[in-house]
Amino acid sequence: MRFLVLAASDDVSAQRVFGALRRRYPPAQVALVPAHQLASGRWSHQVDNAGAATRVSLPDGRVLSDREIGVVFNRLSAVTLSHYERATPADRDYAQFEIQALVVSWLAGLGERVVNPPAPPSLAGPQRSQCELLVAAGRAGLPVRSVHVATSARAAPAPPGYDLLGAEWSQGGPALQWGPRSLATLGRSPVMAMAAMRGQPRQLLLAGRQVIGSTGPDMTAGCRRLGQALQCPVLRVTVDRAVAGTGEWRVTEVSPLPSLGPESEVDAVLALLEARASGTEPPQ
Amino acid sequence: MILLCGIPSETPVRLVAEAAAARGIPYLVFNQREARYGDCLLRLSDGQVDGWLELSGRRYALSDFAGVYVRIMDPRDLPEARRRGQHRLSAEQLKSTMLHEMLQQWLEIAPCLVMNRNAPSASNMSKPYQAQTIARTGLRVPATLVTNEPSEALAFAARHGRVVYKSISSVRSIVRELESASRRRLERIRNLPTQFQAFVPGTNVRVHVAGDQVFATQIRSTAVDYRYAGRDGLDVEMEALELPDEIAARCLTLAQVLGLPLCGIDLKRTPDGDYYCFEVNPSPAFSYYQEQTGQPIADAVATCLMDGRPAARAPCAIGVS
Repeated sequence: MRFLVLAASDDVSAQRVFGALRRRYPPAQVALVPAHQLASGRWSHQVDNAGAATRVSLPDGRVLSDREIGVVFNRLSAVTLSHYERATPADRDYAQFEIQALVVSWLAGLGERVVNPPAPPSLAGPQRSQCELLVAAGRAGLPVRSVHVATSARAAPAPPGYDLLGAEWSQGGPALQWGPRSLATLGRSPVMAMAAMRGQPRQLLLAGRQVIGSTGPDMTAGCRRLGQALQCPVLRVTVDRAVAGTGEWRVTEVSPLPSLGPESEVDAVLALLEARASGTEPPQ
Repeated sequence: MILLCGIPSETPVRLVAEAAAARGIPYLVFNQREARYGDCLLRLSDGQVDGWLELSGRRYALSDFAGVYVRIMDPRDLPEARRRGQHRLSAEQLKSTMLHEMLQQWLEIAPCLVMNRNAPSASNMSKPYQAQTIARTGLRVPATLVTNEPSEALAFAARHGRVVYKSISSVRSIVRELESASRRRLERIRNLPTQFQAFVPGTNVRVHVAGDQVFATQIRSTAVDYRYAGRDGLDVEMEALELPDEIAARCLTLAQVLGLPLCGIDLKRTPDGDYYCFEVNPSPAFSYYQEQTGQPIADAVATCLMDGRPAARAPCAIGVS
């Protein structure tokens, strides 16, 4: 098949891209495979010095063979084994790690045919914190919202005019979550402070060379460099105008697994997939 | 100054600290067990990172660290984080968790040398994924099959004769040979794909790359998995080994390609003198090998960190075999 879309069964963006592909190509050339079908497939994945070769027989009878796959729109965030639901937590975790490791290796073996490629431990695109992604954006030459994070708001006061967030334990587990706080209530608590923005965010989508919604040529070039640095041809970049200074557009968030917005974004992803499939994608 | 992150009494951390002290290299230990007493600030601005780390009442600029050795255990496994029956975790636990998270974030973006960062270390979460990278550096990898079809596994075994099986992911498993007893249980793989590998006869060799230095240790044991030889009542003997230049260069290349300035590479030398590579460990317990052979691995780690550069020696080109 020429186009393969991999996604969770509730991934609306993947379904929109699949729908657009189906309107242009015959059914035999386009397939949508939900994550749970991959997990239930019969696998044969071989690796040696000649490379990787994989064949997956799906429960519905379809067969995914490396030689027949043209390009993959990869939206997988997790592949879970439903028949392990009643297993012990340790067995369930082990099974989860194992199937995830297999899928990562399969996708890696497909090389540049996969958009976005896996980056262990993530199945699709890099799994990085927002701080890391913002630093990557800055290193790609994009203007970025400044961030100040400290274990103690008193030991390291945030600059004036920053929006303040305080850390708290999430309900039911030892994980940190952040919520708006005032300086007076922070005390010695951890603080994350970010340069104030006007609160009118604009969504940009990188899809290969195209940047939908760009604010200008510098932003377009910066988004392309960021995509290259993260090895992510499809990337959401959110920008907003800073309150301070000249009010220039600054990156506030980066996502390698974006929900697609207007139809122009679906068209841009479609153009990228078609270019990859036909080998006509211009160099980045 | 170099920063050592982990638990000071853990042998690899202790050995690097001792090596730094012997060399007169200034070092600071971030003791995970005392994270609740520390403080940290990170400032991010247009791709630049700065801030400070405060330990035992003294503040150090993050830019003062030439290199960082990371041997951090999951903070959730620390004894003080595992108090049961608490619905609300304490302010001290919040502080410890926050400091760990901030340090981990800084280590991913710090401009200094880090042995090792999390992102490149994750290649080890999938052994066949890592094997594809290893193969691209020109090192031989054993023929591998991951399957949940017993008939495929049997055909693979028939093709290769002796076959071992092990986990696909980084979850540690004991490597076992597929013998008649395990063949009878083969139907069980229908529940979960399993990794099978052609058995490679020969001598195990563990290579530690630290910056541009390569330390090879030969391990003599009749066990299929020498790490667990004691469980099977078998002996293990280790001695330092000089690798052929080409193999040493490929190990350096592999470390560089994987982005791991410190790593443990598992090789096997066949009776014909060929070298096969099985996997790369991004957080090697090199102390086990250093203590058996006297190889100065910790010294190489400390000096490389102070130098702040991962590799001065040119590795070989990828694709040249």
